[in-house]
Amino acid sequence: MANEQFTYTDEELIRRFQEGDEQAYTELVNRYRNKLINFVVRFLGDINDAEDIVQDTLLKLYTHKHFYRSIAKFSTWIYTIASNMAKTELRKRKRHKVSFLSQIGREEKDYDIPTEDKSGALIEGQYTELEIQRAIQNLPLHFRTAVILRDIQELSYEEISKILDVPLGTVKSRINRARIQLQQELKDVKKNRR
Amino acid sequence: MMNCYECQDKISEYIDKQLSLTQIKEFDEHISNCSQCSEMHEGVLTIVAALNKLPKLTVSENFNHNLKRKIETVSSRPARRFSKVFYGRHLWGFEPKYAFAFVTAVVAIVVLAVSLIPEKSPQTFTQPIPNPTINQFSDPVKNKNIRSVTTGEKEMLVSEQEEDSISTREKPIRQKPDLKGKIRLVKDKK
Repeated sequence: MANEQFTYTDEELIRRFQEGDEQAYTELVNRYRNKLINFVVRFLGDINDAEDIVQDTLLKLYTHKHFYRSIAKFSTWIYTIASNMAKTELRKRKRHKVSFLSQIGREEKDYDIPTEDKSGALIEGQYTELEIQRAIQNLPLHFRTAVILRDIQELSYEEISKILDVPLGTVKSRINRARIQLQQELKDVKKNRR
Repeated sequence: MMNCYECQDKISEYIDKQLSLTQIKEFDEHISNCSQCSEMHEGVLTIVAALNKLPKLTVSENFNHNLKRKIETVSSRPARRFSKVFYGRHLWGFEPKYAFAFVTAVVAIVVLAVSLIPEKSPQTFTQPIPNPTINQFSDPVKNKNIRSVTTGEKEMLVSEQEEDSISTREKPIRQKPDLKGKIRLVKDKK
């Protein structure tokens, strides 16, 4: 039974859930909870709020299941919800005038930095995880979303275009500019380290 | 031949294999001759690899339990009648404390505006102003003296009376003027 269930596509699962199968919902939660947490953590740089946002995203999936139309991919729909919720969270933070410095402080306290990072382990022999995370946080929001969806979530350009609701050319441009900005920023970090 | 601007614009598409064969050839040619673009290409390639290799995070152990609790809370809550207005404990996007301050300010402005409007005299609307000119025209007996004057004087009188009638039109009179006398006067003039 478990094997049989595992063969269902996301779209089949959401259809079953719309018909009242709660087990299909559980399966969707198990498939997407870690993908979404990675997206939201990299976007916000804060694991505690990220978990709340992912839960709210999956709660919305539960309460608004009939809003999904089979014309779109399920992953596109769920990432759109998560992305909107993460942006709302950032707006809330701005409204409460949380300064950038205090965000960095919280990041260091709450963010789940692996032990390797403390010992100075380098990803690709170049940068630590924290350095990369900070560089991501410095990107403008639309660049940040695009590059996370592409390089961390490994989604296609077409899927990103649908999630962000922008033309394909815009997605390509945003991803390229985000990567160049990251590269320049991390190059400076590396210089300062020496 | 690709220039530096075009090359740097296409770095990500080159890495993600989104370029056509001709474009790939042009790109390769350019970076083999341009050290600056070649260095940038190497840098972006490293960033992409680093982002791909970032540790994969997982949710906490009690994630599903907390989610289940949230679902139970939502399911047990009675359906909101004014869900659009009070959605998320917000009143049209305002937090309640700001919403009440806003409503208070609006009420205060309305009260102040109403108190500042000057009250108009009720006579204007209730009592029509008596107009002797109109009465004069309407009463043929009173118009006798007009008929007896000379032609030149008649013309002057007519123009004066017309002016008077214009001024009476501007006043808020509800009574419809009787123009029978006036019509008769114009016939006389002819």
